[in-house]
Amino acid sequence: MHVVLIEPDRLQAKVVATALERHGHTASHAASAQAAVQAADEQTPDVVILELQLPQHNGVEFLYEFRSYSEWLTIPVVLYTYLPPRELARAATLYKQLGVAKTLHKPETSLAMLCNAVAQAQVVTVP
Amino acid sequence: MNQQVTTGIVLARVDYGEADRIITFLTPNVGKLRLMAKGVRRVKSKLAGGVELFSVTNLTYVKGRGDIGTLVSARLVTHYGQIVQDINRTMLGYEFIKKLNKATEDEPEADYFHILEQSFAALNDSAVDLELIRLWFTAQLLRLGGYQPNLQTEPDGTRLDAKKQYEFSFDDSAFVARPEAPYDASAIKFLRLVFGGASPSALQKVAGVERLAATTGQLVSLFARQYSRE
Amino acid sequence: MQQNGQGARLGSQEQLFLSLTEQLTRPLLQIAQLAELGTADDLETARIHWDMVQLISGASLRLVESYALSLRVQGHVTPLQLEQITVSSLLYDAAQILEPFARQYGVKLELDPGPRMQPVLADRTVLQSAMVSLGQVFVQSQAEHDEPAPVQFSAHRGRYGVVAGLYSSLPRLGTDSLHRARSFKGRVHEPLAQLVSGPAAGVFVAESLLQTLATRLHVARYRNLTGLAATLEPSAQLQLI
Repeated sequence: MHVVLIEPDRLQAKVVATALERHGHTASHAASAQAAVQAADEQTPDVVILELQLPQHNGVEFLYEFRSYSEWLTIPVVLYTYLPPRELARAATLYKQLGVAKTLHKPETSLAMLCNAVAQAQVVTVP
Repeated sequence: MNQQVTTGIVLARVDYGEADRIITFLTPNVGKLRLMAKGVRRVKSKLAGGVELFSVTNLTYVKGRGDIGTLVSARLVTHYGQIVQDINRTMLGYEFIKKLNKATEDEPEADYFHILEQSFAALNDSAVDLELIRLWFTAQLLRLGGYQPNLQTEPDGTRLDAKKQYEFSFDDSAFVARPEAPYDASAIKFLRLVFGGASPSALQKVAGVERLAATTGQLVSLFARQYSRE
Repeated sequence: MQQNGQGARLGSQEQLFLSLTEQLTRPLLQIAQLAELGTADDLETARIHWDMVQLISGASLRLVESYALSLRVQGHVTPLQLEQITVSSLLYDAAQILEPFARQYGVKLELDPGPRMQPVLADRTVLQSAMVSLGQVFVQSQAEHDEPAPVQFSAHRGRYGVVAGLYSSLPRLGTDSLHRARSFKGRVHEPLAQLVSGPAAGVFVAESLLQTLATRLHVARYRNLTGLAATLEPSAQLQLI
């Protein structure tokens, strides 16, 4: 699968990309919301992995923008973020409406769990 | 060309065809307005621009034959740029946009525009508590929908007493006196201010606002759920 | 300190501590992930991963040490050791410390020592730690851009003394962004989102250190660059000579 990995820390991105490649996926890295839209435009992803805490424009803005394009409506998004689970849970409805397939809290998620979530991410229906 | 001018807040954006986008605006004078923005798809700097979320924009447009007009120009009037600096505020802002979009499926009054604008202003102000803003927004939607709880009398008409404790009866949408019940005079007065339309920044100045917002916030959420279309 | 808004019950030190704990989650996660990747297929990749672990650990240890130093000095556990310091040479040393970190992130460091200036009276370790903490944030900030701009260590004469700090051409920081960030450190996840994603704890640790030298950070503009800097009074002692 081709993954667009939206992660502001380049070192972290290298590590995650390595893990994804070992699981047979290819990955494009984007450090910001704007770069992520560009990356998705260059090669349509099968799955997007998204850190919500991004510089300038945050991950929620990216999601809103991403879902405004019809050809990207069904691409599953896996949230892989430092945002604490309680705060993520507060916006669970919103994330569901924005087609988030899975929400993962980084400190509690191993690379294996992340790759598993990517492999299992199904096409979503965005209302 | 018969050009119209209004201000608007972006509620939604969807693409259309190869190069265009349809943007839904909430306006104070013509309710919801759907406009086609031509040739703006895939602009590389699309996360910034004249038609941003969390902004009030001056719109010049031409009415279409059907539902959708054509956007001629957009000029940013106010951009609540601080909202996106904090992810929790961003999430709440989007929640408001979605809720309001849903609540205004029919022709909305000007008040809906002002509620959303005030909500953005409050979210943009880092001194105003998030839970207070959430409570305020929920209360305003209820008020405009005509679902305000009775904050003056018990169900039998007895005026509320400052010395008594009250519990809330969802069946009667009113407070009922009961010893050791959770709501006291300060909570009920606070709710009167909230439903009375005091702005979030004015409410933030109320003594003990954090506690009051926490106490009454859950009540208002539960009350709203009764009337929610979701 | 009672403040309106989120996290109103957190005092300033608690906010700083919370910011630091959020910041340290990141390198710890990266080290855990590198360990999970385990033995690489080839020695070269394994060496690269171990280098990363060393680098990440080193940066985190520096941050923790800087924070601890600020607390020790503020709490009078450790006294300040004041001496005459040539700011430009201190900035040079700070840049040397940061060089491997910056290289790993693909960010270039520059040094603009400025003209010959009077030395300042300061604690060398405190001031250097502040500049390194700040430098780490600036490197990470640039690394988040597709085309990172160089990070410049700069000293120049200002109206009230020697202005020492870190600058870059991107982003253009607003004068009120630092003011807002101070009140929101630890209370929001990205108090300085225009500069860098995440808690930006290095900025606040730097400021905590600078406060022991009776100065603080401010948004500064110098030669078309924007940055964060502190103004240090030149040492009066040498004027007697």
